[in-house]
Amino acid sequence: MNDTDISVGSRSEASVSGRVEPSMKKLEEGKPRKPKRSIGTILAPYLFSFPAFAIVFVFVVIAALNTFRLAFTDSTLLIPGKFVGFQNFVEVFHDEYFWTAMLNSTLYVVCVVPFMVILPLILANLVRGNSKIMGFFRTAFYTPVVMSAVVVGMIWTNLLDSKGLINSILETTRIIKHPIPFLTDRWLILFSAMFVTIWLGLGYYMVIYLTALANIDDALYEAASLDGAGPVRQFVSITMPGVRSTMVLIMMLSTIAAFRVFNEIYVLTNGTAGPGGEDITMSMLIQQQGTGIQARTGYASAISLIVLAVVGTMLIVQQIVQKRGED
Amino acid sequence: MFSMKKVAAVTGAAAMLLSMGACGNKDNEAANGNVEIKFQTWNLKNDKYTPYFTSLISAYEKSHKGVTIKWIDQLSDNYEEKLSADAAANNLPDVLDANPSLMFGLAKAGALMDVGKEAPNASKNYYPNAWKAVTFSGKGITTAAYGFPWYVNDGPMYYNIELMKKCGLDPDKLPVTYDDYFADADTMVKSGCGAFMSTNTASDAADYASAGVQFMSKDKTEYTFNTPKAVAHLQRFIDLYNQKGIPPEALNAQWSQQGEFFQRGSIIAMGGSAYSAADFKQNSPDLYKNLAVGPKITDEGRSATVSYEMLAVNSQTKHKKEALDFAQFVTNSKNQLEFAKKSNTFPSSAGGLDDPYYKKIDTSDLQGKALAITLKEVQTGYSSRPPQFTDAAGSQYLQQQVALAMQGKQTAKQALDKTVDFANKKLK
Repeated sequence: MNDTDISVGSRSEASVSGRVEPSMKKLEEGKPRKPKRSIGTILAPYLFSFPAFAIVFVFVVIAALNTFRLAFTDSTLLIPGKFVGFQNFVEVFHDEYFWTAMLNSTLYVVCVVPFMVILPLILANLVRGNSKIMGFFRTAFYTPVVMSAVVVGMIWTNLLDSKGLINSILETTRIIKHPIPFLTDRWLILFSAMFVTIWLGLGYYMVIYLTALANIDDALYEAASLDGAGPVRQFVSITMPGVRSTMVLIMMLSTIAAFRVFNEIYVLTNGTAGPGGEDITMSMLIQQQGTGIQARTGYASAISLIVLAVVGTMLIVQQIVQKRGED
Repeated sequence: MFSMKKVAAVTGAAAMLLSMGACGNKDNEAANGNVEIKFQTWNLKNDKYTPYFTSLISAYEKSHKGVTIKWIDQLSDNYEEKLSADAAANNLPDVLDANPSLMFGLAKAGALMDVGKEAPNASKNYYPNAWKAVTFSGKGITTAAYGFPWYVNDGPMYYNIELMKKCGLDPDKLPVTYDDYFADADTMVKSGCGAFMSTNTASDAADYASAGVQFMSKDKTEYTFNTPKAVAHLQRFIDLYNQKGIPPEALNAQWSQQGEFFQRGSIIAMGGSAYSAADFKQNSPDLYKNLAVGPKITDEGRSATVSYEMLAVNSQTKHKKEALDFAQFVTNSKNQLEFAKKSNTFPSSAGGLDDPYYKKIDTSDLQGKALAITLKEVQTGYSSRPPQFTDAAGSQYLQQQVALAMQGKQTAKQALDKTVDFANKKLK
């Protein structure tokens, strides 16, 4: 019974009693009485949630508003600037490193996101189940997620260096004569970083897919099996539609993460953004401009707003494409 | 009626709020009314230096009743971020340690005291070159001394003897000038020994200054290192890179990475500090036995890579007199000498280098040789890197442009012209 039903029921009871009450007082007496709540009960939830709200307000809302304000000033970290209108944006669009960063970050999204959406799903499909061996693999795939950026950097730098493990093996087995410049060639640095990102993210998104896969009814697989559908057909026709909403979520999450990539490039290039700074990404550009004693906070804020706009646009486009696909 | 559960819940929430509020409740003064001076050092709290600072502070507090020194040490990494965050929050310590490059931004923003004005007789207590290094001038800054010179350092070139022999070089005839250096590099390349000369790519101010290039105008209002002489100098490095005499990793290596290359025997030479010898002895004893030391490569006959550390005083300090006094106490001749001896660095206080300790350096081992070479560099050399040429204001850009030139994506002239243009725009 919903709220409307209750009110109708109340009126009916009054009618049945045969006494039509003219006065408001009587009507009020007829309403269900709210239980009295102490001041402590009323305040408790607000007091408990206040710290969280305060933190979000100070570190997210105020910070975001401040970024918006700063983007239109020539502020540095230590010297409050003055309003300069769109000057920062004009300068950004004439900054050669901005366009390099935009290209690299966009390429990152284009190359990394498809792998981030599909590979963890395949992996989750392979390691689902309750056996101990599957548990071992799930843990193994998730391990990179909990590693610190420094450790990841050391592992991959040692592997990809010109005298690192990969080049040494390839040279020893005479597959190559000269080392592959994984960490010194502009494009190879970018693709190496993409590989590291995928390696790092697989476990995280795999766990999300595992949760989604648990919601698919096993009877569907049994029925499909009886109809003669093989593993690939079952994957395409049952698993993928079953986790469609999760795929959309992961696509959005990985798009945002890929466009804002920082750690992987930073650790592989020692923070230099590669020879000539040609592997710079949007987040690195913001970091370079917005940190340090001579930080140009106004300029860095303008770049941040552009990143926000680009990521927002990407998500909107994804939503539109997704809706059209569903229609 | 309040139930116990509700009382506990509300009390808990209130306690949480109060504790959050307490986070921001600070009182720098000691409860007993003493003056407390916050003294911040940079990566100096460890087994080697802690006893020195504890004793130093204790001696000062004993002779200055009512003054308490609170020693804070910050880790090596992200020191600039820490300083900038403190400065932005108007929370800088009273006395702080950093190099001129880090101090310049703080001074420009008015965060540091003009100690020359506040302590007018102080300059005579330090070597003229040291006082010059802490005196900032140029666009957007009032010419003044923004701190007291502290310890000084430079260092020799370290050479891998075994690798030199393998590459056809004579370890008894180490290069001194750039002509010597490139002649050795040429011999090394032709030998096909598979080694690299060093990670030096001419991407630092000192690389140009030591080749006789005037890096900046005397009035510090513009950069001038895109001269034909500078272009020719960079071209020599580009040619060496193309002949595979410089490792490709050098193009995106930070200064610290050259040590890794050197320790694994990839490069013949590396520039280091006087105390690098002690590090090699402790961490790579086999390599230590196989090392030779020589002076820094320069065409000027003197080192351009002398680095000065300084102690500045926060312009907003509530205890100006005590902070100035303590900073001068730490940097006085006696205390500088004691610290320098412990750390294999050198004092900037006037007469410090005449101490008997520096007259009788035992040069029978590598550490002694390194110290003796560095002593000469400190005595005759200078700091060629303008404090305003920071990472953000040109130094990183120079490294990037040089890397592009090494890769053949632009000429040496284009690299230097672009960097000078970029850095000049930052001078405002």
